[in-house]
Amino acid sequence: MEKTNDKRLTNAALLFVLMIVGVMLAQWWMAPSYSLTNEQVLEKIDQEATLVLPYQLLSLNEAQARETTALFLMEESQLSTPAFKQLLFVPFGEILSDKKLSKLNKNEPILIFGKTETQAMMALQLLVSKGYTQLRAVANDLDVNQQLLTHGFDPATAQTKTEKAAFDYGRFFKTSGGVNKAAGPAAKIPAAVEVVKTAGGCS
Amino acid sequence: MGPLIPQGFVNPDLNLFFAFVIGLGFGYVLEQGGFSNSKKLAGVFYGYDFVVLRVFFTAAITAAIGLLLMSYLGLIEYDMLYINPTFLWSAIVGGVIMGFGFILGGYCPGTSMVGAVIGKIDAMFFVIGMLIGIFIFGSFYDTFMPLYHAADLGSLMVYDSLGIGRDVFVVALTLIALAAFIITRKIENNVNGITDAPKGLFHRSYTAPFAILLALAFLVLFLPDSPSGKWFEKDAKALLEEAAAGKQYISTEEVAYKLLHPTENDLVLVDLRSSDAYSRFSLPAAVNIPLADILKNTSKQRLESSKGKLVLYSYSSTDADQAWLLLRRNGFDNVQVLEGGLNGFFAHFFNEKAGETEKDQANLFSERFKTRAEDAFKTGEAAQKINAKASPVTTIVDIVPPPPGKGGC
Repeated sequence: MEKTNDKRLTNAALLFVLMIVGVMLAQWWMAPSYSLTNEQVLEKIDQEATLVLPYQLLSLNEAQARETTALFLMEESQLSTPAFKQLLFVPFGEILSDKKLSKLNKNEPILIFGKTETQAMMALQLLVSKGYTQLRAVANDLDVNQQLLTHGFDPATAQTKTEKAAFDYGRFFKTSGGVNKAAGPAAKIPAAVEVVKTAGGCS
Repeated sequence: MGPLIPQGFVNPDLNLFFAFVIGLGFGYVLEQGGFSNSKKLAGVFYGYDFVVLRVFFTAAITAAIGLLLMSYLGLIEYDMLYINPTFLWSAIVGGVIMGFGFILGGYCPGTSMVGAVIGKIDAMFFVIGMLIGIFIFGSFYDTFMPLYHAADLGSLMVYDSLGIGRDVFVVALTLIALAAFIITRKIENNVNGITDAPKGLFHRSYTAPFAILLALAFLVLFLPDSPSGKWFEKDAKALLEEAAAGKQYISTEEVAYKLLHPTENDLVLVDLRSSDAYSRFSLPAAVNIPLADILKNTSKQRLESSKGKLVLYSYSSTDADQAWLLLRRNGFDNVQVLEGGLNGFFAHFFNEKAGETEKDQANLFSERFKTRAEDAFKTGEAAQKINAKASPVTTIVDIVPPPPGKGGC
């Protein structure tokens, strides 16, 4: 390694690692600010019980409510909610503004009420990606929750959420047989991805 | 991005061509390192030249640290790397034969090819010997096979067999390399009788590269598996802006129109529900990628290679919007969400009270509950549920004598 050619190899190794360091610096400079990776966000929203169903909302006891911040994704709300620690009204489009975020504690329970269930869940997902750890979103749209909190327990809505089949699709919507006009031309997406394993190594 | 063949960047049919090109590069590096000289190579066994050990240690730690950092940056999919299986006995016997040949001839297989290519006669003899060995092994393969396949340990990693973490192992390997560099220099100086060697633990030319490698090895120890935000990802505020404006939605009517006009259909429908729900019903020509699988490599590859505009749907918009946010963050531009999901699509085209049910979700839930309850009582499902929970049970033993000739005790 002390000859010119040996040094060239050492320099090549140095160049290689410096190139990687350069890519890492570029990555840190260019990457948007997130606290969790996309995969971690998916794991969190998929595996944790993030959605509060109507019967769970009704059974929220006073002690729990007093520790929880209710975040309403609207200017104001007439919902007669339990006595939460604090009520915050932030329109959906402004939830990531620094001024609004400063009012939320990353490690305290936050319950999100949206105009729609999907809006509440999107807000939850974005806040999870920013590092908020104890977030839950209220299921269903505002009118359902309005009715629930006004009238109390209703078996028809006790376990509902919008992400459920509302109709018996198969009875009305035939997707096979007949003139399959809707199937269109050749498939535009591969049916699956074949993983090819290759051997390697050198002697 | 990598590994290139499994990820689809390199055609598997060109596998050997790329192996040849890489082999040329590897040979050039070996030659430039002085590895075509058998005296230099054999020096490691006699103590007068440890260049082989140093070069291979440098290569090993550079490759290990490079691999882990490239994996961290998302440039290499670590789990997709092919790991050669370990056959213990053939490794031991092969290692002894190779070591014996290395001392005897001064070459290993790769370096002998390099020596032969630049015209070294001893290297050519070595290559001929190697070819004879290959021929004998091939001819008597069946005889050697029990030994060749003995003690199959699978794709074993050194750090697993030692019971330590991967990153800790890389740091340990770097420190061992550092120790080896210092010790071999002292041995070399003693054997070669060098008394006026420059001061320092090892040669100056190593200092900067090794300091960087060591720093990076420790950095690997503290880095997470991947950065929380990646350079190609979209910023959360930009995503929120799009979502607040409802830019992700495509109307049920546009989807229906395109489904009914195949020549104008540029949509790829992606059903995010479970595979069970998808098998019972789906929109025409839709593919099924459940939400939980949307970020898997295979799913992303399928979506990336799709030729149309991706339209995500689930029962409502909730799951589809979640998937949309994940994909948009991941850099997918051509992705939309079916407004209202399947429920909205159905209500729009099939339900007579479409307008009413769309506006009044509570009413819809109430009707759905009534229908569900009616079915449960009609089919006996409700009774089964109640029976299943009935406890405690008082058991009344009613002994009925068996009919004559039908057993008993």
